[in-house]
Amino acid sequence: MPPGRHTCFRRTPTNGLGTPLRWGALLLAACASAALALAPPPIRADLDHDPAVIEFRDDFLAGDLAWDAVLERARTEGEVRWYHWGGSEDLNTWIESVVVPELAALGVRVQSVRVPDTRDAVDVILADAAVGRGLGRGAVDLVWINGDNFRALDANDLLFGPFADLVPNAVYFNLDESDPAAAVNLRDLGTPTLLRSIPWFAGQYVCYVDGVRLEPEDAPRTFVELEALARERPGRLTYVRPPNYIGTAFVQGAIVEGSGEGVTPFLRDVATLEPAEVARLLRPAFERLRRIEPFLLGGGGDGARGSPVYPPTAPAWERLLAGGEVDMACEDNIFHASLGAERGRLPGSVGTVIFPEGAMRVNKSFLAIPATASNPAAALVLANSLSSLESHLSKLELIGFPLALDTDRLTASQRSEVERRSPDLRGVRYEDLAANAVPDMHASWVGVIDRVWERWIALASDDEFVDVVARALVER
Amino acid sequence: MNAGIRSLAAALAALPFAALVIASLAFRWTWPDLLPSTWWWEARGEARLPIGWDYVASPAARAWVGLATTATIAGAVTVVGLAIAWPAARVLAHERFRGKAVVETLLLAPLLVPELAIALGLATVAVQVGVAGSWWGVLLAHVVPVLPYLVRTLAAVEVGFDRDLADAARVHGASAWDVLRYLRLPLLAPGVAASALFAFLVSAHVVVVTVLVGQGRVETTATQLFARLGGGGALDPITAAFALLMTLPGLVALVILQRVLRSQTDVAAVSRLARDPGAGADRTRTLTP
Repeated sequence: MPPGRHTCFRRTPTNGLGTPLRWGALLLAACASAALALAPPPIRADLDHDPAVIEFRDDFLAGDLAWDAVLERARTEGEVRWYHWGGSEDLNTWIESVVVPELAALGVRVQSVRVPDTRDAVDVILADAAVGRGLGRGAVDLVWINGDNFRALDANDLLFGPFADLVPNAVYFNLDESDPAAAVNLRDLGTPTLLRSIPWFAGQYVCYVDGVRLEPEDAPRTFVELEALARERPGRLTYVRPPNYIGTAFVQGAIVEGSGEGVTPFLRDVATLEPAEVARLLRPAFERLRRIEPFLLGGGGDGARGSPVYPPTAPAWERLLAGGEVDMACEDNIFHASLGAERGRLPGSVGTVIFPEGAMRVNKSFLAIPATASNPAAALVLANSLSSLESHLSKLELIGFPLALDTDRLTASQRSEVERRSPDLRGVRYEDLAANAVPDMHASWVGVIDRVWERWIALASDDEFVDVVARALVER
Repeated sequence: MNAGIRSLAAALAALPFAALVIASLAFRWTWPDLLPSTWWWEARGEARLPIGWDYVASPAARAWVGLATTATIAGAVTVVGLAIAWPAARVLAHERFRGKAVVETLLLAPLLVPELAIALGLATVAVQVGVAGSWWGVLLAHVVPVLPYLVRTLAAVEVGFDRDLADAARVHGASAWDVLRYLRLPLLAPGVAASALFAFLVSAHVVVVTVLVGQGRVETTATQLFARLGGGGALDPITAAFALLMTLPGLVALVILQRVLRSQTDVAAVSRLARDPGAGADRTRTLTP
């Protein structure tokens, strides 16, 4: 508005707003905008719990409650909110068609809450706890979780308690702390679960080839063979760029093989080792990865630096293979080749291969009950139901989610049923996969490996390898 | 001369949609094929589980629920946002006062802070107030990121309104209501409608705030699409289908607004009305839908 307006009109309330109203209008908008200034308060030490639910928890964890009493209480609670990653159409379909009816028969309504990322479920729990909502007051009853997200709940003391060995279907899991074979059920990327979560999904790093371009028999079984193949057929291989977990897993395979000591040195916290020792363990793998770089997709061949193409994610890697640009790709599910072919993402000629021999990392993800659960009995009933053999079998058969329970706990006839209801492994046998499986490294290694890769491979640093490692250890 | 340019523009606008439509209908579509080698309808008979649009249309996908939620929340956010932002924009456009710059900056603050940073704070507030996990909570939370856009665009719209016109009308005996009804609303409608569309689209695209304040239980098309992208960002048929669905509420809102505006943008008629409010009687009939 030009300043030359007539003063006699200036005070005329032509806009119908008096001065207090004017300020009111601004204030209202400003308040709404300022809502963002309210930073999340820290987790309150004194969570407000529902005493009745506390009593139930204490009785249950002490082993004083019969399972029937839990079922009874679950019926009273009436519903359970299960938070899980919601991006898999197969999982969503399976939950709605199998899990929901199963729990409805027990008098429990399952609300499958699909979050874009498991971190969102953790944030919901943290937000509840931040305002003091404790047991019997929160939004999340059960969550499919692992890794950093589990560690966040552990660090904030927001887990319900050690329930895994108290549900009837615990019989399918080796939960014996003194048995090294049970580590995969009791450690979540190095964090002790202390029975506060029960295994539900078993990932195993596995690679696959398009048989039309590379016969599974000609596929590399070790990183030594991979290097030879890359030199023989330049530009036909690549791997996902760390820190994407599939890329890190590839590098971890190279490290486990290259160190010559298996996975054992990597099960410890990396912080307990000297930089020189870490460098000694990592060096062979990283030197190999540097040597093969010119022979990867887009690498430019011998002697050239080129600019190799590292796909950003596993699906991007899968597309390179499906489009015939590379000859091998890897994923985190032993049935991936089968599922991909069924869904049209992969050609019918795709086959699974054992790679890297003796270093196919296995890790499980879990079901955990948060300390803010409003319906803990229903959560226990759902966790137990999801841990049953039949539930795992139907999940395996219908959507190719590998069994998370321990097959050595099964009878011979149960085991043959597992084989019968498994999707096609496409060229490998269960025994081969099991024989080459290794537990995942301690989570502390991941950040170090990713940083060393970034500097030593992506940025092609001229620094001494030891210095690169030392810097990564400090930055971690 | 315009026909050629217009069809070129239409083709350019349609191109990404065509790619999405094809991707959503593909079963097997790999580089370097220009078109899918196997289509959804050729493969769906053999699929054990619903694929492509079969899944999207199934209740398990919750796609329709998500669309309805998106449209309802975005519509309500637009109304609430306008109610808050328009008066503020009006004051900012026409008044000068001490501390105006500070107020303006404060109003823009939600734009300067990343969504992720405000989401957890809003979620905590929502839990405290007791609206977390509900449509209401998400609606109120969306107002925060929507306001700066609304205030900014509406202030620009208001600046364009010559208040001398209003003064002149008042001098000639028009009541405050007449000024609003026959002057301000018709003249400002196109600009306000554009702002409203902005607010609608912003609300329809908010993800993190929706998930955290809605505690995951309020699913919009945007959160559903984001859940798909979390799997690695591949443009598989279902992701493509959700991306197409995501454009629907905005397109519908655009079409509705354009229809409403077409009957309101006749500025000459508006000015006539301003001179002779009595002539508005017959005009009113044509304005009401």
